[in-house]
Amino acid sequence: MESWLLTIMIFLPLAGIPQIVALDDRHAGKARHIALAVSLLSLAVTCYVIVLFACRAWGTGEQALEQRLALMALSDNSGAAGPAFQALYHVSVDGISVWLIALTALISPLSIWGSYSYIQERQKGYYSLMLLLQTAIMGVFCARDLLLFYVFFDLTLIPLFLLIGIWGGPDRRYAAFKFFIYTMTGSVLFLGGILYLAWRSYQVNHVFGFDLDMLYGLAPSLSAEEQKWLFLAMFAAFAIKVPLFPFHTWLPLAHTEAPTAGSVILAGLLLKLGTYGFLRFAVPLFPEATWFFAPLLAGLAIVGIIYTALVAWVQDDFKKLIAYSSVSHLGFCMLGLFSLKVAGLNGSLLYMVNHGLSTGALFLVIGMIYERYHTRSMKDIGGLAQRMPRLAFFMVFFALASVALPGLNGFVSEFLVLLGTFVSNSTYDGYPLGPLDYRYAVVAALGIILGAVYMFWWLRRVLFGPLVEPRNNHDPEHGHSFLPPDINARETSILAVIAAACLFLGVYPKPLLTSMEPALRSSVLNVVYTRPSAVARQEDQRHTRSLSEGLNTQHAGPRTAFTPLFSIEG
Amino acid sequence: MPGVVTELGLYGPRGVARPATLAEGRAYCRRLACSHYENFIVASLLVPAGLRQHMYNVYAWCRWADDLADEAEPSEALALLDWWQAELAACYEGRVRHPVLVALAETIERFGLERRHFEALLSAFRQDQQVARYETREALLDYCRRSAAPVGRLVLALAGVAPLSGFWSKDEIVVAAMAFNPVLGWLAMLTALLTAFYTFRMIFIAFFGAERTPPEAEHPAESGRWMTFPLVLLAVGAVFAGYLGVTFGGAHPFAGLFTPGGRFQAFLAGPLDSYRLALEASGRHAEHSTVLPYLAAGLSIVGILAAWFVYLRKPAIAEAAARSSGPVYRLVYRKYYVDEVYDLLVVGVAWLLGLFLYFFDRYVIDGLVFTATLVPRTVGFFTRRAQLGALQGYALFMVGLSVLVVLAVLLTA
Repeated sequence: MESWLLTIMIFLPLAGIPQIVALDDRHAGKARHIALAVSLLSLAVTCYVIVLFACRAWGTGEQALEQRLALMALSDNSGAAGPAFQALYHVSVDGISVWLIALTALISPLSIWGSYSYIQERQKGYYSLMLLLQTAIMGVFCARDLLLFYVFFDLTLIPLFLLIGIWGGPDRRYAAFKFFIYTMTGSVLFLGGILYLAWRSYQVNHVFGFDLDMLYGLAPSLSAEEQKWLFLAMFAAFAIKVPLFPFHTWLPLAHTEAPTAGSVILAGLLLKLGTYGFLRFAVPLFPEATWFFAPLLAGLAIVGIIYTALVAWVQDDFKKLIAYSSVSHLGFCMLGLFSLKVAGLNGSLLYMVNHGLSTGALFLVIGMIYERYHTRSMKDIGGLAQRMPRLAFFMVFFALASVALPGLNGFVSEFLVLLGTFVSNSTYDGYPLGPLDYRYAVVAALGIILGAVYMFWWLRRVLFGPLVEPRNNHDPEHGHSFLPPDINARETSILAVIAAACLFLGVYPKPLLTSMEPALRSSVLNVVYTRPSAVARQEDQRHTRSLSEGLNTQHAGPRTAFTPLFSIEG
Repeated sequence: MPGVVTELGLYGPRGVARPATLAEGRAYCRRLACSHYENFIVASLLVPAGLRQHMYNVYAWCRWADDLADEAEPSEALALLDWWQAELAACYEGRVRHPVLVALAETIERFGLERRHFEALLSAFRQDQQVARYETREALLDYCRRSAAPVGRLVLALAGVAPLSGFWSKDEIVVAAMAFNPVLGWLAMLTALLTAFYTFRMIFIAFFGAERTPPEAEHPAESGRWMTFPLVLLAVGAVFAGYLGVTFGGAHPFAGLFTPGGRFQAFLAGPLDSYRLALEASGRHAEHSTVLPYLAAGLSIVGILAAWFVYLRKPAIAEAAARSSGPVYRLVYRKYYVDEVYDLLVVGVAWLLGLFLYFFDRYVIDGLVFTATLVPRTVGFFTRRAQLGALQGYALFMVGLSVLVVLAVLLTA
């Protein structure tokens, strides 16, 4: 039973779809209740998964709740014992994925609940797709097999493509196609990359397979040149997904046109697929290439941070403003990741969770305003704090979380990212020198100022000053006039749950950090710093050997969790 | 770089032939302070002239101790430090030979420098001989307490600021500035006057004179309880906080308020002491030192009276002054246009850059993405015409293709 737990967690949302589809059209309004119930059930299962993970593998960096089923196993005519071609259903959870799974399980029901009043048409289809999307995202974070990951990764595209294309704004078809084709282009290149990797695995291990546990060992057999091309293939998929400057132009459009829940899931969960992909696959599979590309990617991240922050500032449509701010924030995520330091990686992974909470909440807030006024233009709206004091409270709260006010979640991760980048060129965490240095952190820190500039600019224009409301806000065509002026109890509860999470993570992020760090060390940093490729061995053989010995001794003794993060070496 | 160890022959344990004179000692310390290899200026021009020699003296003593510890032969360092401590002890007992200590003796006497600071420093230098790394933060802090902290204490003692007095009222700052540099002091005095003036301008305009309220404020009312209560607390603090830490040293509790030695003078004792010390240090007399704090307090009252006169008694003066000083008034009224300049140069430029980047994003970067899709678009545009959906068309196409294949096979064979 326990080995099936993750599978149950992943596919449980699908169980709601037959119920919804079987609904009589007169009772289509019940679809939302079914979807919410199933999603909450999935949240409960996820909580159980987290508890089990905490019991089995907390602070060890190991995987837990692993399940491995052979979907296809063929032998060739060479007479070898094992299968020569295999495709696995292989899922597990570790310190890197567990909190992204938790984020998915939390954000999904909230965005379903948040759609209650907004979605009035074709409810059955809408809520079925939301459940399908949840399954796909869960699958992405659990997959331990590259092919399985690829399947789930592309599966996320279809529901979101339909959600944008059917329930989106006026320009929804163009936005949906652009989103789909742009992302698909990247993932096709990714597919080419993993097929080549499997073929190389066949040459080395005599198994044409995609199992990560096997592929992680492949790096020494790949030449530096091969690693670079394979890294670029993955880069195509993940950099578009993140999105990294200059591959971001699909995002503002998709966000603006998507329905509220689509934006929430897109910003809160789907963008993390990109950074998660780098962290889980591109970096540890190709350590040599990581070293080669790290300064370049960090440079793109920094350009993105500053560039999109400035662009966000001049937006009139505030959904676009938050969309551009997402690109800016994800730049911090990438920067921390490629600092290749304990603090930077911790910060980057925590940033994924924090950004999911605060930006997801901001999109919900924008949706609540839009449902009442049918506009997102700062020209038409002003002084809303007078009309909607409760919404104003949450809007300021999440904006502060987003600009990393100390005491709220964004601060912890942003600080760790900048710290990791700043000390990348040091050995404070016991690893050798990293690829970046303090100059990257200094430039990126400018982005924090700009972040505060556009956020407070937005708050001032929308919330404060004299009250400005569009005249035709009770448009009978849309039929939402039953909503009260300020947010109702349902909307307040949704925002309050996320606000509580933001506050908790801002004050006490330790549980997350303690469980993340060992996994980041064992499955990313130890791999990257051993650099076992032939080239590296030729270049600095002695250095590498002394390093791997150092790492072994370090892990032999008992290690108190999380001590090296703030202590000065010595 | 050669430290003082090269002079051990001249001034070392066996070297000093005869006690140095005060002039020689001072000259030696000055030379050491001005010519040694520090990356900072030991006593810069900001230090009052009268204090500089004392800074040289303390510096020279520390420099000697440090060089004995670091630059002498390691085997000899401890013995040399012992000798240096013995010289210090002798100095406190009134016997001096070494030029540094001859000069330092004068400084010790004038400022009452405590021996334990010097000895703490020596103990830290001794520790340097054995310990180079500190395992815990506490151990490191302890080392700092005995190395950096004594130097800081000695210099603070020279500056005449009692190191632990937390009494930083405006008067004390004014008085200390006056002792430091009279120009600064008088500027501070003038500022005290202006502060009183503008504060009471606000009070007189807001609370006295003719009643003026903006039309939208229909019924101006007293602030509510939640506003008043914190204000009362703050007011109590504002009135009585000045007495915290005042010892009323020697003043009889029932002595008159303004009689010499009375409460007001006791209240000003802190500033007076530091002023006297600083004046003595710079070699000037402290005769009219008692006047200054009264003067500072008096100027504040003058400022209040001036505000009362200008804004309450004869409001016409204020308007006339504003009119007649034209551009100057506007410059000051506009806060020297700092906000406007900032808006233009920083905010405006960044905003324009943002606008430019937004158009760049839409038309250049997204334009490139669109261009990249042109190839499949073009191919699709033409090939889709072949997809007629009519069965005969496909049949024709298949026959044609088969003929081509057969021809190709025949030709290659």
